[in-house]
Amino acid sequence: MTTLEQSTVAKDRVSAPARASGKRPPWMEKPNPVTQAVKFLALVICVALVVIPFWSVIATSIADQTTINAAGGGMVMWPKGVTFSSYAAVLSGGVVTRAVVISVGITVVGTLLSLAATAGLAYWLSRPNALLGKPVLMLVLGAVLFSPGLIPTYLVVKQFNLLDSWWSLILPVLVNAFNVIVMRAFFQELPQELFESAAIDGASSATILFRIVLPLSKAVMAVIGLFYAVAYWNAFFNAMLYIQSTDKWPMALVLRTYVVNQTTIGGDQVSAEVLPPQLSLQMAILVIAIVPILVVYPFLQRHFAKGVMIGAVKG
Amino acid sequence: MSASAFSRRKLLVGTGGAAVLIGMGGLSACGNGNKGAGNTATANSAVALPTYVPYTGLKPDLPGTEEGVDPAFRNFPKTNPKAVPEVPGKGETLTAMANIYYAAPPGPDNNSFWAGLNKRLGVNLDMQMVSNADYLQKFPTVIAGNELPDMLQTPNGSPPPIPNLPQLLDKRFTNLSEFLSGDAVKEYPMLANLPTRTWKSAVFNGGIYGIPIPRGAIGAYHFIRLDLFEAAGVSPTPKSYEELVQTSQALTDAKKRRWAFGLINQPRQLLGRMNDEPNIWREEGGKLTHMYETDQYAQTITDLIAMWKSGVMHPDSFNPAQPFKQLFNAGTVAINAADGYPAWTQYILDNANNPNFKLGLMPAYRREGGQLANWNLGSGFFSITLLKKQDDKEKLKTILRVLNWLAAPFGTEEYLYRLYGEKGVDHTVDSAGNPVLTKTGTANTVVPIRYLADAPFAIYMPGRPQDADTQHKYQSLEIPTGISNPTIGLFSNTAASKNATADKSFNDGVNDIIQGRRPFSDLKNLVSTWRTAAGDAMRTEYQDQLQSVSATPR
Amino acid sequence: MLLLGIPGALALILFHYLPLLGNVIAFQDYQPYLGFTESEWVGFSNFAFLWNGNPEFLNALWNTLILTVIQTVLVFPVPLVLALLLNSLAGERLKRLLQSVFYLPHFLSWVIVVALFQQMLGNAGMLNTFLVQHDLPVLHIIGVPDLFKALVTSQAIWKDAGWGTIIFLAAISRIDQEQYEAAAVDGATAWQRLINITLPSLKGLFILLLILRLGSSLSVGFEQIILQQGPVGIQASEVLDTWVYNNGIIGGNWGISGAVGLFKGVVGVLLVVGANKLAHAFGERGVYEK
Repeated sequence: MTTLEQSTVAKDRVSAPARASGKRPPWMEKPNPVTQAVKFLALVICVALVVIPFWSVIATSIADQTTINAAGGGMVMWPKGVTFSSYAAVLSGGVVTRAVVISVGITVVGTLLSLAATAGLAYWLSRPNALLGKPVLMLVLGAVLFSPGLIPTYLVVKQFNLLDSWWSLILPVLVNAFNVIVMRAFFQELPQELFESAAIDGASSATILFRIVLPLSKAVMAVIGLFYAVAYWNAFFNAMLYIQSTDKWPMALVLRTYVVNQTTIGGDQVSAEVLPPQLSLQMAILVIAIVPILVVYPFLQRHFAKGVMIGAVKG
Repeated sequence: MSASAFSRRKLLVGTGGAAVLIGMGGLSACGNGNKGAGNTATANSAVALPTYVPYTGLKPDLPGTEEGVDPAFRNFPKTNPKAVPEVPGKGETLTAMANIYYAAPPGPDNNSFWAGLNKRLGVNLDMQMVSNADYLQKFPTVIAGNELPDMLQTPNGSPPPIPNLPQLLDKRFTNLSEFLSGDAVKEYPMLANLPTRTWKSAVFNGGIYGIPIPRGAIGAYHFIRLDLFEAAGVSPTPKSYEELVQTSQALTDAKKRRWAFGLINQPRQLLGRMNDEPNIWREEGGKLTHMYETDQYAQTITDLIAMWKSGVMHPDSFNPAQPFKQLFNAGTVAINAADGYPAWTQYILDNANNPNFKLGLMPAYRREGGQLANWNLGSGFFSITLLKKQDDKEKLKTILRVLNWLAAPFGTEEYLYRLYGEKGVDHTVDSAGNPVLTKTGTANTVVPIRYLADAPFAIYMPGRPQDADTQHKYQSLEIPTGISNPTIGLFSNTAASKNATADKSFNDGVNDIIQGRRPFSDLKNLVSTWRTAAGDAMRTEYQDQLQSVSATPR
Repeated sequence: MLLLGIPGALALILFHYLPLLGNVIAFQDYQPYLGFTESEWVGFSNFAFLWNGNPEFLNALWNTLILTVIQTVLVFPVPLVLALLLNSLAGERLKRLLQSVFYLPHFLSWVIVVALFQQMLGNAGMLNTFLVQHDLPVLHIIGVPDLFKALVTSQAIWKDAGWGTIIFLAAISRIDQEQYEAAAVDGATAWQRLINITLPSLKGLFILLLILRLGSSLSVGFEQIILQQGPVGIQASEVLDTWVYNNGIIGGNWGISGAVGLFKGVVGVLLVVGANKLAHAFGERGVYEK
């Protein structure tokens, strides 16, 4: 079998089947009850520390003004008067829905492009004798250590005529140097023999990348992909700088105006709408911003769990 | 500078780093020869401010005064006269940038209000809006980027917090004196309706450099929860320091989560009034003293130490992000002193569902009792709209006509559209004739044109005619006692740059003293540090400008 | 092979290195309306804070160093520990659920996190209201200068520890299960398997991340700190980035932000090079090889 076929076969040997079913694999001993208890306690505390504030966020987002007043004007733990007016207020305006569509577009396109560029660069840098490998690696490292200022970056983006274009939200952040270095480290962990055999078989770099390296790097691609996706999804600052028409605003920027400004109408106007309490509006925004990530993440998670076969070469 | 110089610079920056480095060595003296040399008081006082021609098309129920009391309307006027007969533009596209304090509206293609506005203005208004929290970062970026919008709002502040503002204006923005000075403003009657005290703030380098956004002289109100005062059995007008202390204690019950004050800056301002501090600076015979340097300020700090100790202030009062408005709404805090006056409308709306909520206003009396304390008059403006340098004079005139339209006063047809949009689509009219926004209107009308030009404030609370009387009475009571900050209309570069840091350090130290972490004796050191860092420089700069001013216009 | 990496490298050069040239403002009295070419050249005077004994700068530097040490020792290892804890759980579904829960705080902006902490632990927050209503003394946590560093450290852990587990869990998932099986058959306990299989496999990644973290030692957070400076005062809370903001940017002194940026970068380079050499001495790969 050629190396390529070997690795394809080996890939299918998922190496953690027993754990998935929740049962302990046969070789694992029964856990010590004391250790179990300690672990359990530690986890419960950690979970509580996270869940309690989040519960409060959700509760406040559906609380009405009376409940908030009763809580002294602050966050609420038990929403007595429940109202979804905050969610209605945010979601009903056309602005938010359009912004979400824009953000989804930017996130999907941006993540794919970023992954491609990052993987290409990381692969190149992971090969020991790559042409110009060392200087480019230093370049990437330098990018981690030195950050350009606000105004120069703005001027460069402007010079490339990217102002008010969605490309201004993707190209300037296409490659994150930190991500490149991490991905490179993962690529370096792959056994040398794979590359050597592939080279002997006459495979080109591109073939090696696409048919050997990437399929074996699902975990790191999923992780880095997640990092990029979240960055694109939450980015408001670049949009504030570069996007000039409100119709092109991504979701993060729209939501920021709600969170930071806390009101929906001008101070001298009166609306027939029952205005949701400001605090509850802020919390509703938070929840809305997080939900899509919660939805997407489980799909990526399964790639973390899949094992990588190291034993392909042993054949 | 000429247009060719602009493009030369753009080229240098534009071709990338190498060119920038090349440009470095032969740095011309062009940049700094002119450190605000043109911005002197002599030059500025020589400017004839626009003639004040008040709009008489509508009669308010309670009139405004020359001193600065705002006019009041109990209901929205039933007839809305057309104040601007001609359409300002002929189809040009105008660009603008301003901050926005609300949720972003849909753009012109999806916003019937905006489309209607464009039609009425006769221009295609391309407006960039930036959340006010980010505005201070965006503004220098736009300046550095070389492509200015036709109309640009300065960040909020008096004076605008832009270092080297006079030089910036001189280089990039238009001197509007020829269009607005003296009687020239009569061509723009709505701009002539802006009070003279507001125009003072737009004068630099011996010229008028922008359209100020007017704000009432009252500046702020001392809001109180009248219902909580009544429940505690205390008078809403404490007439001396002792009475204020007793009142605050009566309003405080830590166990029930109630306090008198919510944010340290509020009792600081209130006590400042009562202790007769100057309105930031005091001018005596051409010499300026800052409030930090006065004995009255020291007295205020002593009072605050006592107040903090007695527990009448919310425990998180030193948190600058304290949500004091929400605390006020919730009744956790009973007094919201020195809060901007437009908040009246917001508080009423926020608490529409709370039958117990009663909003009141508390006057400030002198410490020793008996007389009203001097009121701190506000700066009179929010920000200034700058017009970039244009070669085309006709375009400038069009822009001014657009701003003129936008400044149409309360109750006019233009004002009604500007705030409430199209009848039936963006708003409906209730039985008393007050416009009420619909859902569409709520989303669409928040385009921040009110920061390009605005009408002078008129007291009005839809559905509650009594509020007009309450506010008008309060203003009529307090404005006559008002004292001005003598440096309004003057520009100090130190104030726009170094003072922010010096002031922060100073207030940090004072907060430590109030909380008891530092002894009161440290106050003297803090003051002298502040003076060295910024205070003395500001004083010199301001005094130099005052020297040549004979009679300070109001 | 080069071609594959060109797009990425180009993006970095154009959008990261090209604007980096703008750091020339470190040597200028940069004013936006004058631009790079007309702003006055001031040589090294923007760097004066390094040698003129400016007490605010020194205080900020000191606070920064303390915080970075605390963060490296306390905050940095937490994701690893948490990842190991999660990994040792039996159920796959439970593991995934908990992971999702733990990374939630990462998505909150600092504005919200600070507000949440204020609501829970503030002097009039939930905890203290409970205490006051039961006649217990108030627990002053927020607004106490001496507790500030502990506060920001716990906030950093709360917000990002869960998110940090992702990368370690991904690395752990690459470990061949057969190794564990073989070790267990040989009689190794769970603890021994952890020490001898799991940790060594993570060593390289951990060291890599540590070295990169050292590179940004002087950046300990800006938004988080500036939001909470008010109640505790400058002395306890000023770090390098807030010092630049308070003394440079709000006063329109852009040159200082450029100077500090360069300073941080140079220090970062020294630390990374040093740490990398150290890693080599221990036989580790580090970030880059010799």
